[in-house]
Amino acid sequence: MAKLTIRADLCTGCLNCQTVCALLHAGRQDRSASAIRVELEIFSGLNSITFCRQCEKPECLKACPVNAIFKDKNTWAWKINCDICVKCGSCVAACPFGAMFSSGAEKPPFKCDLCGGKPACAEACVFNAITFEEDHE
Amino acid sequence: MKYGGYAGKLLRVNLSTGVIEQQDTMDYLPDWYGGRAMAARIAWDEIPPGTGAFNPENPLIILTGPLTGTAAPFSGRTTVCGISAQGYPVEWYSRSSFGGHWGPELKHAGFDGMIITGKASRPVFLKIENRTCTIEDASELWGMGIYASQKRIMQQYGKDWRVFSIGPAGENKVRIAIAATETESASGQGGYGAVMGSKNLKAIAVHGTLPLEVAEPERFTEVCRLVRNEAHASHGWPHTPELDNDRVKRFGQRYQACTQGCAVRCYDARFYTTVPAVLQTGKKLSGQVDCIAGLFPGFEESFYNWKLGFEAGFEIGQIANDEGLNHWEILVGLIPWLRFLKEDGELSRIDGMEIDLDSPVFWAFLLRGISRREGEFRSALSEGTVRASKILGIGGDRLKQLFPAWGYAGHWDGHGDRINYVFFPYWIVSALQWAVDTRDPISSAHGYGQNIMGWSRICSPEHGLEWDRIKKISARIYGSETCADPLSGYTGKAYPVWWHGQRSVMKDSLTVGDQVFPRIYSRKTEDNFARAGNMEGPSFERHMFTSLTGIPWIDKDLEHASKRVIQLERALLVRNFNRSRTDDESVIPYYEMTEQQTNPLIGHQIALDSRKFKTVMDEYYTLRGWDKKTGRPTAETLKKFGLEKEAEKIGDKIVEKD
Repeated sequence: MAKLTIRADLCTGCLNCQTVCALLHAGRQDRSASAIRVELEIFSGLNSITFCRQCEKPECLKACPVNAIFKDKNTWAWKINCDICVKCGSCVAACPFGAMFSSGAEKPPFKCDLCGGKPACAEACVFNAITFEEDHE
Repeated sequence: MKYGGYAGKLLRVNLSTGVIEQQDTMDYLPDWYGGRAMAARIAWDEIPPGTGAFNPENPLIILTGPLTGTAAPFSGRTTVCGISAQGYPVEWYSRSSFGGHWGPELKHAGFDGMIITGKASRPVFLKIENRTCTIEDASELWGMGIYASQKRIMQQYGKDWRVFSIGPAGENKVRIAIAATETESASGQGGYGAVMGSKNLKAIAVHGTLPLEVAEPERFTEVCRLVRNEAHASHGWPHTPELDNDRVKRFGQRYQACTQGCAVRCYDARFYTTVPAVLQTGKKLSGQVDCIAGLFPGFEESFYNWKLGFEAGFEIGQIANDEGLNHWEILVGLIPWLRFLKEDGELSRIDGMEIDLDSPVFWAFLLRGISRREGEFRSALSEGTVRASKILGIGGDRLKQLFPAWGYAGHWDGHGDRINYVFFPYWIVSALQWAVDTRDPISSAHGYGQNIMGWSRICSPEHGLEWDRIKKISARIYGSETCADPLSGYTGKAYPVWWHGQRSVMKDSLTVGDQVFPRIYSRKTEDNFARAGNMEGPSFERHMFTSLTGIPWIDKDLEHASKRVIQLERALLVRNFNRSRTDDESVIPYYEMTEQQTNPLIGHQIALDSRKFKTVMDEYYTLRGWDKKTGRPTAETLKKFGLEKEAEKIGDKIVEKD
């Protein structure tokens, strides 16, 4: 199984990860559609990155009252079954990393789906702050 | 909005009346497709002859382009245009640009740019968020450095706001004043910080959450991916440099994008997280060092051999940023000029302090005094080195060795600028680029001189290309091998000036990074000509532009639109400033000095032959469709670009017969 690994200390603040994620998932440059978020620290230079860890025992899964969160068997990414999601927002509140994003009360939340197994953010990051590698643990 | 990429609205702010209006960006599309292109149209329409830099009527035109802030790599820049305070011999129309993340933020706030006229009765700043703009009181910010000004606004509104601000230099209308964002992203050349100051405009704060549409999402995604992967280094160099281990350990050196979208390990952009201050004892400083700022510490065994050392050099660079002063002017113009004057015995003290370039105390005294117009000498320097020399009546001869023209210190020109390596015949192109511009023509010069030198075996022994390979690529790009041949002399030097002229417009209009485009040479292809997928390197920008906007242009259309910008800018210079061939030729004496470097294939240093150079100028005028005698666009040329009405406006002036 491959895993998204983030080293915020290597992040240069180019935001290519955000723009490609938004473009791929929303078909437009919509910042609020990006499942990865860089918080720029302009004066210290030490940026932080919000992203889904694809936890082994995710809090979002536990919090979901209708079991709408499931594991994609191909990519091992946690995904949301939008057909049964009741848009209660429990998962958004539960994620300790802030990586489950609300799309407003009318729509299901969204999260990183690992782009079907080839994360665009990792490809866009030439500084190896984001890598997608086999997890040998 | 009909087209993708654009935010759809332009802000028109009149600071005298307080009236804020919104205009549809569509009014200028597709012909004047963004940034510098759109600014040329606005400037022609709205800047009457006689308008000076500090007239309230002078519009400060700040524009992004369609690519700005999208997934297009290297696309975070913003262009600034208007009558320039630094311009010399007259304040004339020019341009500047800056990186960081401000431009993308502005677009997400719903605006492609703004035109600011008038003068506020008291210090103000603009607050822009999601299609709204208000004029706010800046009396508390006035007097603050650029860093403090940003921090204060971000504390008030949020860390995700981006602020473009001036420092004391801009407030005091210092002609070499920058306006900047973050720690090192400045609209550096042109003195537009002083133009902002003259309007009592301290800062422009932006924040936005609005989306930007994309015409062909799948194609745009793929084009951006291909371009990003091909652009493995800044275009002037074949390989990517590593970090300096010693500086990583001691000062927390790291890579930092100088603008949103950057995807290369750049030579020039480094962030330092912990640098012990020398003047402000006990303090640790952090900030970015880009481009020429790397020269602040001084380089041993070079012309720039002052000995500030890294820590003090870093601190002085940060002071210059914070005060809001132009790094290039200081390091390549002002300081070398002072050094010459000291060596010549013409000057030993400034406003009571001894000139000591090894002392950070002297540098701080000098720079803070300039930005605050303190002391007779430093007040004169606030007018820029060229004007200061006239005011003080000293150093005229030395000035001529450092400043080619237009009030700007040498830049990739083989003469006054001794930090960048460019030898004969390549600086013939630089000379002509300088001749026909109103500022230092660097976004064109990087594309030619820096690119060829950087890719040669001389500058890159390990990764560079043989001359034969460079010449073959030259034939593809410029139509002839002679255009990049190290032994070609004056032959084939007009065409690259013409070609890079329009490429430069593209960069400042779309917007994309100057140091990366156009893509010409590559280490990723067998023949070393840049390409990705089915796109050739020089078409990268056009593919990104069309898939994003849906404007169905082929390469020739984008080139034509960019050439039109050069025609309209020139027509504006003729109409407002009577620009002529005589002005263009005023760069000649500077280049008639012997070059700084030596072409090893020639073996001795060379100076410009003005007779031959004038022939190259003739060739350039012919390529542009300008009258050879006057240097003005002919009526026929303007007509070809759909500028008939403009031709009428400068009517009698352009009807010149041989």
